[in-house]
Amino acid sequence: MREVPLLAWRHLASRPRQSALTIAGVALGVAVFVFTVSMMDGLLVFFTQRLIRVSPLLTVLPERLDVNLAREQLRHAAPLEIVSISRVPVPDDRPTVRGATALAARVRSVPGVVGSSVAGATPVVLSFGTIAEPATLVGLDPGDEATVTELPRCVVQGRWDGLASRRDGVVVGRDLADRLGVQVGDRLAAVGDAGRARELEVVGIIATGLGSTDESTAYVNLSVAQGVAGWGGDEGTEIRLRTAAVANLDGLRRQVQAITGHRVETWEETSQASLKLFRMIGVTTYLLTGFVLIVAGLGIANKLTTIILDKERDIAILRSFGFSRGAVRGVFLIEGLLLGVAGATAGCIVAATVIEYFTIFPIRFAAREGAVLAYTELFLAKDPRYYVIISLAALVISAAAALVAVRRAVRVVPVEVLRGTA
Amino acid sequence: MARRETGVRGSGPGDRAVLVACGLVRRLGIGAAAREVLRGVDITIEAGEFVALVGPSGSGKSTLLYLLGGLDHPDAGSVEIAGEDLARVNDDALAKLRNRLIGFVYQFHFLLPEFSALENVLMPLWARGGGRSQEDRAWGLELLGRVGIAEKAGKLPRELSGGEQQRVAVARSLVNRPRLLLADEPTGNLDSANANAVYELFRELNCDLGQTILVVTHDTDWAVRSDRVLRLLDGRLVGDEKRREERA
Ligand SMILES: Nc1ncnc2c1ncn2[C@@H]1O[C@H](COP(=O)(O)OP(=O)(O)OP(=O)(O)O)[C@@H](O)[C@H]1O
Ligand SMILES: [Mg+2]
Repeated sequence: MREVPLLAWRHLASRPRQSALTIAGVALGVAVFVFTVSMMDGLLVFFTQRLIRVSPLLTVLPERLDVNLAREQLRHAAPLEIVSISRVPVPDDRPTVRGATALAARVRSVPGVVGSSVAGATPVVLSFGTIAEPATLVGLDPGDEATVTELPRCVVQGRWDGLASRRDGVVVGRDLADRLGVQVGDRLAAVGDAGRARELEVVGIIATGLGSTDESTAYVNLSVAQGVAGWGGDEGTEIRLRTAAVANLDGLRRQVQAITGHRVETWEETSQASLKLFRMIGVTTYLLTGFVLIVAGLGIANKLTTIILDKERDIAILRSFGFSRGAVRGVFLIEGLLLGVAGATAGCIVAATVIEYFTIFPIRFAAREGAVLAYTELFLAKDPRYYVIISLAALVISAAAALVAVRRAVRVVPVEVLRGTA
Repeated sequence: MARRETGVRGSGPGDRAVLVACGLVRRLGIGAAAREVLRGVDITIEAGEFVALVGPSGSGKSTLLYLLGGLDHPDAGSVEIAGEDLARVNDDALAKLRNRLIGFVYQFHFLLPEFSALENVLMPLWARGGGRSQEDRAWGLELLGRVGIAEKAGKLPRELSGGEQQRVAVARSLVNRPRLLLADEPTGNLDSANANAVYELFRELNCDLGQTILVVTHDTDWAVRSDRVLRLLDGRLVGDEKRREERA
């Protein structure tokens, strides 16, 4: 019936204040939800951007795939079965990539790979005066590393190039430097696992924004790390690669694995734990925020129930002169949807405005000691899908609320109402 | 306005019956409070009749009217309107049947407060998907003119007096050109001047349009001025006086 929407509209329009309040409830739910999603996604995007600036996108690891294969074959072989294994490299447990420089050069020519660098990471104790701190000493070629990550650009005091000009130079993570109390120009001692020691001169302080790096890493020339760890001149713990693409790296990963025979990890795998944590926080937040929407839905159900109770006589009269139950149901469903649509629209507008405002005038936080991520500014992700999905959710909830409320309207028996008022 | 045909199909007297009710029984209340409000009522109303239904309060007049109008179901007996048996159709079909055949006026006007007088009048047409055409609007305005408030077509119910509201309700009950107009104390809430105006209106509708009317009333004036008076007492019809001849 064409007048069904008109009936719905007049009901709402004749109670402007009540309708506005209900709409405001939905709008608030939608706005809070959109803003929260934007914030949580912003955090993830912020973290990811930081991460891929300072991490290799692909990492060639020491673990050899062919050795693993041989080991698997041996493990699964039946007793007395003869297993033929040819060209097996000597399996050893030294966690390094051998012939790393040559491998790095070979991988660099793979289409899609735009930079490579050999790195060797080894645990050390750094000491300055009476203070000693455990740290990870990462040796690399300062020039090559510039083709893989933006680490050089994260140096906040001194210069990354100091590593190239001084063979015993060291670039120290900012928080680590704070704990040691060192500044550029200071000399510290690094002692490795096996007791091999080196004296180093601080040539730079680096701040990447990633807690793990800034708190416990010191960058040196590869040869220094090799010396401290006791490796040969061609060993490193990883080959770091920069690729042209950031996503869908699986094909390239397999290609590099085939060339090197080593296991290769994407940045997502390397940082899986952190990414998972962020996603989990996100899901929890969405669930909590979702309740705001559900409360808004209850608001709609409540408002409709009030109207329906109030309109029982009108419903009875409409039914008495021929409106069907379906038409009555339609009237109140449309009312619920109108409230939902208006609320979702208003909510989206409010959310977009607030997000825009905080993009122009961002909230800044004080940097915190020991944070996983130096998150010093509210970063809001923007994606039209947030609005679409959350509005749809609001509409579904409104429709559900209306369906619940409407059962009462459909149950109205005209004669009972008329008898009661006669 | 031309005299309209109302339920006149054949020429025999049986064919002229707009309403035929047989052996109507209605029990109301639950458990110990249950009682038989109607105890076997038979009524036949012919096209063009103006019938008054009178009886003391609590005698079952409203209850009978709801049964005749297809708003309630009898515990025994049957109601036929324009040859259609109300017991044989389901709820929604019954709603359509009411829309097509019957007009209701209640003691209270029951106008929808959010809609103008004209919109209220047209509402029964909306129920059947009409009420929008120029023709329908003209018919609605004509009815408002007939009840004497054409100039107030655009006003909301709260802007009208009690008598005017009731006149809108009368116009609404006629908009679907019903075979049978059922009214339950339509002037119960009105002062005597307004009550008289509504009575005159019914009289006119009956004379000019041949509208068949059944009015429940306490007002002896109404009873005296109608064609036929039915008396209900304790759920039984105890009187049926025809006075058409006298009037004519
Ligand atoms: N839902 C109900 N349950 C039990 N009894 C009822 C119910 N509705 C009405 N009754 C009884 O049925 C009887 C008839 O009621 P009805 O409304 O038909 O009377 P009426 O003749 O229209 O009276 P009035 O002139 O006061 O309008 C009354 O005695 C009333 O108490
Ligand atoms: Mg009554």
